[in-house]
Amino acid sequence: MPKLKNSQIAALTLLALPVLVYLALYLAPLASIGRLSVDNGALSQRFPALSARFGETEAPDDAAAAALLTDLKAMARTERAEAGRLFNQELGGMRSLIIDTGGAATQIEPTLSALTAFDPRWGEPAIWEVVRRNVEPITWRHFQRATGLKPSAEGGFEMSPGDDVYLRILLRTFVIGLQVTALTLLIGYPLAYAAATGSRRVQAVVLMAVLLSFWTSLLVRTTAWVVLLQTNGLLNGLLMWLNLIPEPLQLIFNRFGAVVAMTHVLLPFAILPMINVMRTIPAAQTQASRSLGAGPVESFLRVYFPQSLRGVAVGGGTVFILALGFYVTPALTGGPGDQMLSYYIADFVRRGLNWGMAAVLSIFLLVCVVALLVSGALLRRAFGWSRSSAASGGTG
Amino acid sequence: MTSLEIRKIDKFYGVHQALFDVSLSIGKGEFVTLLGPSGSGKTTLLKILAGFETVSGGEITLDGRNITELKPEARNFGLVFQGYALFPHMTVRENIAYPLKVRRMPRDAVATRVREMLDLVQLARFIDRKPSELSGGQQQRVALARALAFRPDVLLLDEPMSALDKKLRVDLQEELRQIHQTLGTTFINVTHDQEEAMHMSDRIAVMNHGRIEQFDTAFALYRHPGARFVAEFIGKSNIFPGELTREDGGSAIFRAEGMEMRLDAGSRTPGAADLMVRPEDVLLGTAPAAGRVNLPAEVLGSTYSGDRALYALKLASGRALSAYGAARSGVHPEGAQVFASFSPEDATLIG
Amino acid sequence: MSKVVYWVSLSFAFFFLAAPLLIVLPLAFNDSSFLTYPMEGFTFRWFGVFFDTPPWLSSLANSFKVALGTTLAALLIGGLAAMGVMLLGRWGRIVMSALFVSPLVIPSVVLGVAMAYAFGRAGWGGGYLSLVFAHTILAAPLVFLAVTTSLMGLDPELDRAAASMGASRWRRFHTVTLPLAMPGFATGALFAFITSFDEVVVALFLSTPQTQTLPITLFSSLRDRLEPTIVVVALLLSIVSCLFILALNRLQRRGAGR
Ligand SMILES: Nc1ncnc2c1ncn2[C@@H]1O[C@H](COP(=O)(O)OP(=O)(O)OP(=O)(O)O)[C@@H](O)[C@H]1O
Ligand SMILES: [Mg+2]
Repeated sequence: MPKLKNSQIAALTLLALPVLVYLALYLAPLASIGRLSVDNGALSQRFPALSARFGETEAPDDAAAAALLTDLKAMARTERAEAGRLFNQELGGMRSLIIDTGGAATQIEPTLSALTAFDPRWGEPAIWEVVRRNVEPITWRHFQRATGLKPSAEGGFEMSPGDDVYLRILLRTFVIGLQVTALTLLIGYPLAYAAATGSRRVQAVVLMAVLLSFWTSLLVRTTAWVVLLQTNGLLNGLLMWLNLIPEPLQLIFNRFGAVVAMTHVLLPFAILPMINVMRTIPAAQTQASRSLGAGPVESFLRVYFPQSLRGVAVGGGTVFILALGFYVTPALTGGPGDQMLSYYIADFVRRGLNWGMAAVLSIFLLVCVVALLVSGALLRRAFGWSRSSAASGGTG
Repeated sequence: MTSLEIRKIDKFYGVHQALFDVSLSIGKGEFVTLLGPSGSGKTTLLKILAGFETVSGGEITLDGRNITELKPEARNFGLVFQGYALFPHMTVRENIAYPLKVRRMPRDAVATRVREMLDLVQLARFIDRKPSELSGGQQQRVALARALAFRPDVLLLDEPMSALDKKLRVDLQEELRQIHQTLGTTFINVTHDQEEAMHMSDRIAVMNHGRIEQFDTAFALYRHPGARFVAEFIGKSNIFPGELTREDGGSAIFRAEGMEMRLDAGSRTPGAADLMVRPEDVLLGTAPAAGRVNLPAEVLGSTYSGDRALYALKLASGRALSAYGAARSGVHPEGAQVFASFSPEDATLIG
Repeated sequence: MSKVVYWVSLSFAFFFLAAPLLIVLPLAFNDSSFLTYPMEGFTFRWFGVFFDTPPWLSSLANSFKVALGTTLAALLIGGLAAMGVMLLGRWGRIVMSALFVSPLVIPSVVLGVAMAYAFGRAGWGGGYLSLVFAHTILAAPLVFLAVTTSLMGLDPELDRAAASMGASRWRRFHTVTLPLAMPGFATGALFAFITSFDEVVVALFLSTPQTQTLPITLFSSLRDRLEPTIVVVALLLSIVSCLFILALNRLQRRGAGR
């Protein structure tokens, strides 16, 4: 064993507990998502005979039918219902097929023809294909459902129309993320500029407002928007009182509500990095530009703005990454057509108890976030930008 | 009676060599100063002595004990930092008591020693202040008291006065000198202020580019520099490059452009040599002086400082020469033709 | 002209940033069950409702319990991690820092799913324990950052000075380094508390009706029906945030004053 220096021993002693805790409470749970996404234990354990049979040959023959019936007989009723529910996630109608067949399993003879006689669907190869795929210990059905890609008869992949639901949702997540990022930058830039270059008083007031907003619970800020935007809420009331609109507008539970509320919630994350960068731009530079004959607008555009872009990039990147994973705000202010990936992840767990789909969509989200972070780091290196010190707080 | 022996120290930072073959023998109770221009390796040598840097070669012994590999906390060397490094969360008392508590000294002995040290640096009134409530000079003295409180074998000081103003510096130099005499501890001081070095030190080690150029008393460095760098770095000097030849009788003759003189060259071998003459040894007159080396020169300018004037002169050979002249009866005007003269006894061969 | 553009855009942005809360929060005192202006009168009635109607008060208590537990655990984990990482070499430092900070960038929903599944299998169920565990992972990175920042700001000469006076590594650590890093720990503790106190998403996956925290109760009643009590809760949470900012400000000023 190599001799350890004193400081290394001290470091190991100090780090042992944190690393263990991170492993147990953070890394292991994250890793379990990977396993969940392909895990088929719930089905494969219930069909031991059938999965053993398919281990030898994949043909739906009498032996397969017998194995199926043996497994169904061995299950309690609730277990059959659960198995049916899981099969149903892959193909509609499977639940009733499994439950009915299982209920009558003792009366059916263990042959394929008897099974087909009981329910003609057992004669279809497609049904057997679904069964076969789903009694293996590892399944790709969640990934297939999430991407809409299914293995085709020719060995490649095919996508049937309408199966790209989750790809569309992913796209929508990106679109909303971009809309929110653009808005936060647009609204945040003047605030950051004022906080960095304004008079003392302006700086203090703007910075205080930004920090207050930053540290106020995102749920509280979302609540404010729910109250403001509801059908008979404050904003509609104001607009009607001003005679601008004859009847209340639908301002919430649609894209408008979701984007406005998210923009507000994420605004500080765009502003703080911009302030950090703008504070490093010496005022003398703009003055120098003015003394060299450029007007205020030209000085701003040619001297100040290019130097502030680093902050814009950091702020925008932060907002975009946080927006991709947003849940609370769109859940409370968006409509059904404005929900983002996170919503479906939560929904799969809370309503359907479909951990597999939740895990696959979580992986989608994680991959996007990690890819963005990595490309951000590469960009930063390419431009020679130093690390920003903007600490991002909790996410929603 | 050597106490601290530094033998053939080399130090590399990567490929850059910061110290070359540094050797010093420092006696017990001596006040030694490391003097040299910026980047010459003074701090590096001090850090090695304190144990914060490792050596790449060579060794250090204290009273015959090899301490080269000893950890800083095991050396019992006091260290006064350039930025003082007082603990901001402790009072003056706690700062000074720190090394004593580390050594598990009994409580009342600690209290006595703290008082004693504060009396030594004349800060007894400030015992319960925090460092942030003290002036720079006061902080400096607390740092000194703290570094001396545990009676270290050697006290290392890294540019202890550099952050102070001129007046305070001179006062502190005097105080430091007295403390040194009172305690009899070995002091090793780092500075690039030659006046400070000459005021305080028993011996000065002049460093340049990671080497010790000369290690001697202030007088020897000034009057008999061992190298051209030392001659130029310490005080003002006029240096004439020339050639040394020996006659059959053994007496030496030095020749340079426009001058020739006989001088005592000890056992020097003939060949190229540099002659140094300090400006205060040069006299200016309107006629050549007898028994001296006379050089006709033109006055280029002078700076008058009350007690004397420093002249910038141009010799017939085109070389520059500087000389101090008494200024009681006015100064030689610009453009005046004069004779600059010096006695061969005042000239020193270097290099 | 450019001045006009600047002031108009600044005013709009500032209004957008600050107005929603300023407009909505006073409705907590509105003597009407509709959340609209003009206010019909001033009342504390809705605060009474908050204190009398069952889930609110108990979920406030739950929030405090969980946040306190989280603060302690995150201080321990994040603090140890920060101190340990300081002793590592360049690469060790980069890798371990990335690990310790990484929970900040993982979408909370993903963490929620992962923890709900893993904690459920481990049998910790929906109790306080699992909430504290989950929030500790969310809060420890903030403690880690705060403590690391304050440790990096320390003058390395102070440690050397202590060493030159004979203090051992451990003694230097607890007499010099630790006391000077205290503000970092205090800041980290504040971050941890507020993170846990305001956390919604992960708690949504982990809490049961018995351990429901205040943000969860607020979230479900927002989906249910808008009533003035909701604004009362929002006001209370905002007050906690303001207290937090005040405390943070205090700390920073003390740090700078030394
Ligand atoms: N940690 C280090 N890594 C690499 N090079 C170093 C390091 N410390 C010092 N050096 C180099 O070693 C040489 C000596 O530096 P040192 O600090 O000893 O000079 P110094 O005499 O104290 O100068 P100053 O009077 O400016 O303090 C310099 O060239 C410096 O660049
Ligand atoms: Mg130095």
